[in-house]
Amino acid sequence: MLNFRRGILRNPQLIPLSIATFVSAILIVLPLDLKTTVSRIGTLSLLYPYSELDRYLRRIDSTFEANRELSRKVDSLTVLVSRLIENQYENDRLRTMLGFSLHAPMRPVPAEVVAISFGYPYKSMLIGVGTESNIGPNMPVMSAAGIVGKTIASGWRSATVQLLFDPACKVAARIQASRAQGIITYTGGNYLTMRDVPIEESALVGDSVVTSGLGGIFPEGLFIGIVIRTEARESGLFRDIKVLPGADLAALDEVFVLPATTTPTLQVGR
Amino acid sequence: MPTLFYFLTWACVTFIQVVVTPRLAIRGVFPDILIAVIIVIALRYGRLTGVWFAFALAFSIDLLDPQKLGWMTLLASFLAYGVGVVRETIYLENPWFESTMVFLGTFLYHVIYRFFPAPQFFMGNFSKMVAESFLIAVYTSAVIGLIIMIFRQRYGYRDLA
Repeated sequence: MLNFRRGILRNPQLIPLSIATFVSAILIVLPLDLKTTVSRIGTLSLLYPYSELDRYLRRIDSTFEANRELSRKVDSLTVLVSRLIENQYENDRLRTMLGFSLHAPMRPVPAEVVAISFGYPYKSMLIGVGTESNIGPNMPVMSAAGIVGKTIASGWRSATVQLLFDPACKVAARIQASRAQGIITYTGGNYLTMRDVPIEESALVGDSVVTSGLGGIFPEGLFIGIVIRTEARESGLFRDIKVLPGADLAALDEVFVLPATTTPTLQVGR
Repeated sequence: MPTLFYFLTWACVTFIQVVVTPRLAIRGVFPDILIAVIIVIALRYGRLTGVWFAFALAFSIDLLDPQKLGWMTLLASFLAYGVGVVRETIYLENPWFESTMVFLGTFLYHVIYRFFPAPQFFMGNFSKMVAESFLIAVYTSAVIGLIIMIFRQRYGYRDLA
């Protein structure tokens, strides 16, 4: 310690580097909850005009295209929704008759995107809801176009979301048509990879990929993306499926957090 | 005057890094103006100014990513110090030298920045990560080299500082 002080005194140019190292080290070892709070305060004060402008431009980029796409979808969805409502009633009746409990309705909590990590692909973002709205870690986060990621830490009015493009984010998924199951993860590029899908399972380009509900975090049936390519492994038993995520992570303004809900269970004895 | 100059540079670089740079990305590769400016400042004004400037600039951009908070500040400060040492030993006052330093510094920074927070992922995708860092360094040094050349032709080399 004494030698260190002598070294600093002999070479005053080391002072700023020592201060920078000290502050950085403290920031690095902070728990993620505290990092989230620091990040939110900094983003809303120091970087507020920049991040607001960035969000505004991103919104303009995506609005025109989204408008055209949405108006096309609205027509077909209106018909589909009325059919689905009928199916829901029928499904509830049949589940009751079979002794299954009903699906608990999801009550999504809307959240504003406060900041998104720098660099592409985006790996995490900060949203404007936290423990105040009963948001904790490991809650699914989605946009209207599909799942976006999950919360990994939360402060009072903020939470850090681990996006699908973070290699540590893994989602149990299935191909909607063939029911083939696998794990969605990020291994590079602009798409996700559904790993460990048995080679005999069918997976066609354009098939929808949804959550399987097996991981315990994401409820079943949430849209993830569509199949764009399949690649057989060298072993010949499994293959990897490339999935294009439905949600455009670069153009998110609002997302929805899905707080934990009851999963359907078989009630024995009825 | 220097304080105002540094504040305006900070404001401009932060604006470019947050708002402009992501829109210049070509297949995920973007010019890292922040690191380039830190290298140029450290080369022209020395390691003391370089480290302070790198600390302030990197800290503000670091805030955008809570998961990696602190890493950019740490690495950028060390980079500025290292570049400052180079300035005191082998500095040559010409744009090619500065562009080469920007290239080497950016490449080194991005390799280390990708390695430290997630070493396992880095080693699993080693060639991809190194290639990405290399392309970012090429893109950055090309942009910065072009800017230096234009300023040099118009205003002369020394007036740029």
